[in-house]
Amino acid sequence: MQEIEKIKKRFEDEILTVMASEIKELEIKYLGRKGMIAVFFQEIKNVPEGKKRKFGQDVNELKAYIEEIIKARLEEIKSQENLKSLEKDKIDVTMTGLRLSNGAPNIITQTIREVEDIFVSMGFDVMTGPEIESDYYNFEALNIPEYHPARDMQDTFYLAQKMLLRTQTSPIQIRTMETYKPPIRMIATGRCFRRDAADSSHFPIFHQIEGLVVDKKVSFANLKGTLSEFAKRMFGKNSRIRFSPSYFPFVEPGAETAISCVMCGGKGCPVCKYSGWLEMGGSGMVHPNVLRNVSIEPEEYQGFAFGWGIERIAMVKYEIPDIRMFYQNDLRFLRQFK
Amino acid sequence: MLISMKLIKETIPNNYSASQLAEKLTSLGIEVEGIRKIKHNFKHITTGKIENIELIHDTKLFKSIINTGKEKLQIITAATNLKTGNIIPVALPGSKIANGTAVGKKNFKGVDSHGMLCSVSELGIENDLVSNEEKEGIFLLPTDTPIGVPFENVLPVDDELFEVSLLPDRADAFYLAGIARWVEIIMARDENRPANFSKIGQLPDIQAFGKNDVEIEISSKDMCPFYSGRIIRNIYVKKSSLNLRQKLFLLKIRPINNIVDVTNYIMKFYGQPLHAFDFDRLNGKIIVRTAKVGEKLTTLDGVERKLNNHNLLISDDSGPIAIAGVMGGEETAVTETTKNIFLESAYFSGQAIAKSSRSLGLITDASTLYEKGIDYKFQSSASKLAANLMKAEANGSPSEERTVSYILKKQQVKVRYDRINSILGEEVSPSDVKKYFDFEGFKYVDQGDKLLVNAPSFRQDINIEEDLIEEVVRMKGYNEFKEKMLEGKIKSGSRTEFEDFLLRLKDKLVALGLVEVNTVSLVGIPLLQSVKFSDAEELVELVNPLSEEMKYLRPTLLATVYEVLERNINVGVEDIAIFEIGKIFHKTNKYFEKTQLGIMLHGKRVEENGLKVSLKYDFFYLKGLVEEIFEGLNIAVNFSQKEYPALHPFQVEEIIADGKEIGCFGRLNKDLEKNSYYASIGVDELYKLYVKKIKFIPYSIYPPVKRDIAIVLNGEVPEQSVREAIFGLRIRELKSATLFDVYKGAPLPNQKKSLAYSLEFSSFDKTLTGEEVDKFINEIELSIKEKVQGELRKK
Repeated sequence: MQEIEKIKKRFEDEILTVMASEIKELEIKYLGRKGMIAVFFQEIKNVPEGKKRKFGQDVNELKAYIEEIIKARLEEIKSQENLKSLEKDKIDVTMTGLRLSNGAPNIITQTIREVEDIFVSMGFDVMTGPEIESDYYNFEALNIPEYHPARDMQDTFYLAQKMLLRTQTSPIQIRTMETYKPPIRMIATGRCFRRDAADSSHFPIFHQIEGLVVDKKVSFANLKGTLSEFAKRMFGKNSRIRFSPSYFPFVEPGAETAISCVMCGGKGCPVCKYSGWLEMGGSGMVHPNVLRNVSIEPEEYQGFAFGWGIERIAMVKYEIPDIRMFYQNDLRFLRQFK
Repeated sequence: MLISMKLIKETIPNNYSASQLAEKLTSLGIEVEGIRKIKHNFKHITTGKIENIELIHDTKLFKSIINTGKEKLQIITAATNLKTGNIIPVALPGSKIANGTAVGKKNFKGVDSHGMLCSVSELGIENDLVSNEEKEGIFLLPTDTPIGVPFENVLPVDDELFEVSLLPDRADAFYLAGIARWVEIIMARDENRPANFSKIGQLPDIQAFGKNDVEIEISSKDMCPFYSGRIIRNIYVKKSSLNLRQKLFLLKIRPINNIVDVTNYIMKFYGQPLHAFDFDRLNGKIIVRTAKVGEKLTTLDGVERKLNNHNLLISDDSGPIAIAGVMGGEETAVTETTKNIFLESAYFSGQAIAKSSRSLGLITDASTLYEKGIDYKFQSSASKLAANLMKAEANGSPSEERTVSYILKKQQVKVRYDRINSILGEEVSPSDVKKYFDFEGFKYVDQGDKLLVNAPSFRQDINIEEDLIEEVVRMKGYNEFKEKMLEGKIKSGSRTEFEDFLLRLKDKLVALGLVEVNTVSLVGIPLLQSVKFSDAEELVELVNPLSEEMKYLRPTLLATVYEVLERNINVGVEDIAIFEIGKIFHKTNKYFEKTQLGIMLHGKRVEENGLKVSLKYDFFYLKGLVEEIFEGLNIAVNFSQKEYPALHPFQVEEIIADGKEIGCFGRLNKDLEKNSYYASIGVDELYKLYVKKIKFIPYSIYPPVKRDIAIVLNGEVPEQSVREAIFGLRIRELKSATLFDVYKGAPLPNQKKSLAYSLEFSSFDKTLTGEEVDKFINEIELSIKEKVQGELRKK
């Protein structure tokens, strides 16, 4: 019995120190036809009768044990050899990846697309119009005759022949109502121009999103509902809107629209100048003169309209501090919006 | 506009704090953008009277004896504008002037000085609130100023000023009484009672003296529906009294003399522009008419103005004496020697004055008020108020008023209850509607289903039913209305096909590694010249540009995209791959706008990370991009040779689709940024040609056979011709010919080159045999020999 324990111990010592090339030798030494285990089996006959069974069992166990260890060791050696053969392929995997410089749509394109997608899903069609407009579409048809004080609100770039660069996307309202009969649900996005000196919140070029709905029973409450839904989808579901008195000649009643501050949620912070609100643009019920100008009977149809600034929306959403950054086209700015 | 809280409270007593009032005004549409708190910085400055003043021998200093009411102080001063009897501000010993300097006892050359006499700046008063002569020397106070009074009580320095920003339709709030009326509306709403405006601007009870036989004739009745004239005789032109001076101070009016001060005061307080003519310089009848071409008038500011037929004039028998509602003439202006004045209080139409003032480029406080629209019933009251003040201030004797009126009775405005509910989408009860109109001081007649409303004459913004509905919203509160989603038939919305196309194109370009830029549409000649643009004739020019750099609408995207390239290089961005899709403009006999695509490349596509992989932007990278764009849109494209000023003459191609030039691309020319590549493509043309439908094309299931060939030919022959020689055979089984090597040099003779192609053949019906492919190669060899005089070397 002690013999078996001794042999096991000896094997355990030897297997730890043996070289890879000597494993086979070790295997023969223990498991071979004339190996130690074989010697034990031969000795069984000399063991007293009562202990024979136990002895046989122990020898078998030892044999299985040695076989298992040797097999494991051989596998280990094999895998080490494999690894060695791959070492020539070793690379510094901690280096940075190979990067193709990728493209990015402009932040304005992205914002317009997002805004359009929201309104399209609410059943609005997207309309477009020219950037060079006539005085009629940009002003007169919108109830802003020449010498109207409201013209001062929008300093205008003029071309010859009573043509101008559109100061707003609102002329597209007129073009749409001239072409389609109510019910109308449309938005228009595009580039506008105002003769404003550039500062952190003004630039002579900017983009607008214009909305117009005309139907038999479209109300001020619908205007609020629509813009509220838009704000929630654009700025987050906790976003709220606030209306305050304002004046735009093509709507009556007219309102300025603000959203709850995206930074503080309305509690007041430096971004909203502690008011809790961020002004986004104008809105109101379509003025009856505007409807008459496109031969829609104001007693039969009524509507709402709104106009928000695209850059303003993006500035609020992405915390961009200065509108001029949109037009500097610094790639370090543009590449942030992928 | 700055509005004094002090004057508001004086005009209409109320218990609101400035911030409460600011918030309430803002919620009603009179935006208070900020409140400026003003507190005096000086301490212990009182008023005193000069009892005696004399030059100190051998000095430039004066010794004065000042009576401060309590004591007499000896004060030394260097000021030269003083004389006995003047009332002046005195800084007592122990006091402090506005800049913080302490004032005590001093000794000048052995003479004691107990304090200091103060100038305007030492009191911290803004320069534009005092007259020109008051800016120099010691501040001489009105002669009726009491002595021994703290200076802060003399001129009401301490105040809270509202910074008011007004909407164009708030003509009724461009003057102090107007804001005060809105405060009354706020009070009426808070106290749930009708507004009462009569407490603002009580009319004086004056007696008219003297005759007024000045004849008035209005020939432009629609431009001047009302004119009032009054003579004030025997006036004495001087400084205004302390009482008026205090009001001017609160209204931020610079004092001039008592007559001008009164007219300015009435204008700023009541919103009615007045004009005072020197009566003795008038000649005969007053006529209101438009100017005739060739007429001239030298206005108060000394400028001789050429008049035009937009100008409404006040004239007398000898010619123009004032540009109505804009500015008076110099000839008839009130001067220090004026004895009698003719006071005009008129109602001119806003549009007439707007045209007139703009045609001259002359905008004044009066013209601004008229333009917005003044109270059409206030002219006689204003005249009466002014006459009374001139009597008090200048000791004048007012005559009776003469008026000519063509004012039409203003129509009542109808508002239907069901219309209110329909527009607002929410029921507002008739009693609430009436209550709201009461708050605003409207008079109305209830007709059951509607109201007939008379708004006060200063409310120029109430003309139609919708205006009244807005007042309902204003009084109820903009945020007191519910939000409701749109109803009605559900239909799907969509973009226009062109918009969809643009988005698809942009996606494609972004996928190709380009960053979209967004440049300004306005350019100047120097920028255009820098990119060698010279077709100035078709440029669209702005009549009123902001600057020379933004004078024209861009005729090409190249200029501004080039600017982006340079700007980025300048800030250290090395690798640039950008595009813009935007409008470009030109004019012939009318204006045109087109959509263009511009692509600019510079640097490399792969960021270096030590692996020596390089993908530099060059001509063929850009050409591949262009080919990829056309393939993505299913448009067949060809290239041919053409020159463009901005592009390198030997690295350039014209892009042709559908037989027409649709753009070009190439390397930027000499003098422009080096190693930069630009492509320009007409997007409207792309849109017309692109094929949205993609159809599956089957491919062979049999393995392809590959053959490599080399062609030796003259080095000048374009590779495209070789390809055409190969593909021109229209061998159905030839799937591709990939150029994998271009070689020049030994052992080839000079001027020869070798082009190596890998050809791939396959058939739909079977696996091709070697003999079959040999036959194709022979055909290609013949074609090469014939078309490009090349020699085939098979491998």
